[in-house]
Amino acid sequence: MDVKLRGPGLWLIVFIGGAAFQFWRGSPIDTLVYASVALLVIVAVQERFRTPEFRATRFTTASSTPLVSTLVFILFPIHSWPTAVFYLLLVPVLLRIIWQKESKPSQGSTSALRRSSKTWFAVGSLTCICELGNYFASDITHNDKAFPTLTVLVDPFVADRLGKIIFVAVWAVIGVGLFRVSTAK
Amino acid sequence: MTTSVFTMGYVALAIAAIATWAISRVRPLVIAPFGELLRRMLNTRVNRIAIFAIWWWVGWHFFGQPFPN
Repeated sequence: MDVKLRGPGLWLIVFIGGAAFQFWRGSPIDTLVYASVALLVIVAVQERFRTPEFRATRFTTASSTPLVSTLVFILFPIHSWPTAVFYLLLVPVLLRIIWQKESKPSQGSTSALRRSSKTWFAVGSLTCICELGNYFASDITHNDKAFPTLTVLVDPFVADRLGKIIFVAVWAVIGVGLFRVSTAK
Repeated sequence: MTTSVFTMGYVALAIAAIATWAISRVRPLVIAPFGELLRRMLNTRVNRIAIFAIWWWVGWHFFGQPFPN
């Protein structure tokens, strides 16, 4: 018996809900991002779009992401057009990784996987509830110090040069890790 | 003391995440390690879209957007 781990329905709720929230808070770019991902999920489950499937991207190609992102970060300020272009250029690379052939999952302890899935899902969901709770509370009270969202908590850290470097490095390493896991045989 | 219940929630959830991670390392047959769960999830295209999108958006949100949000 295989474990059913997070189907398209759940992700559609996440991304359509995210798009609606971003629209409501007046962030058109984020709305577009969330809506595009929701659309991509819908396309991915359609049988007629299951091909073409790309061959696995080479690890050296993907592992250049931390180097390039660090270089972009050193050369250009955040929230600038060059950094925006860099992030947009990552999109076709990611699509190529995503559209690789699906592989058959290896056998493992299904009950342990189910418990792990439920636990991490609970942690993730509750984090979103805390984030939304603080967002609405800070919006109503105009006090984001008492009700800080994760962005408010992280912003002072990334405002510092060393903090930015650490954040970019961690983000890039996680991305390469995801790539390695998704292409592992 | 004006710290909200939601902010305390962040701390509690961080502790819960660390505890879950530690248990999964010590007792992988009770709770599968996060890496194994991720490996399973990334076998399918829909999960790959969602997980890579979340990763990309975090970078975009904090660094990439040309307009401050």
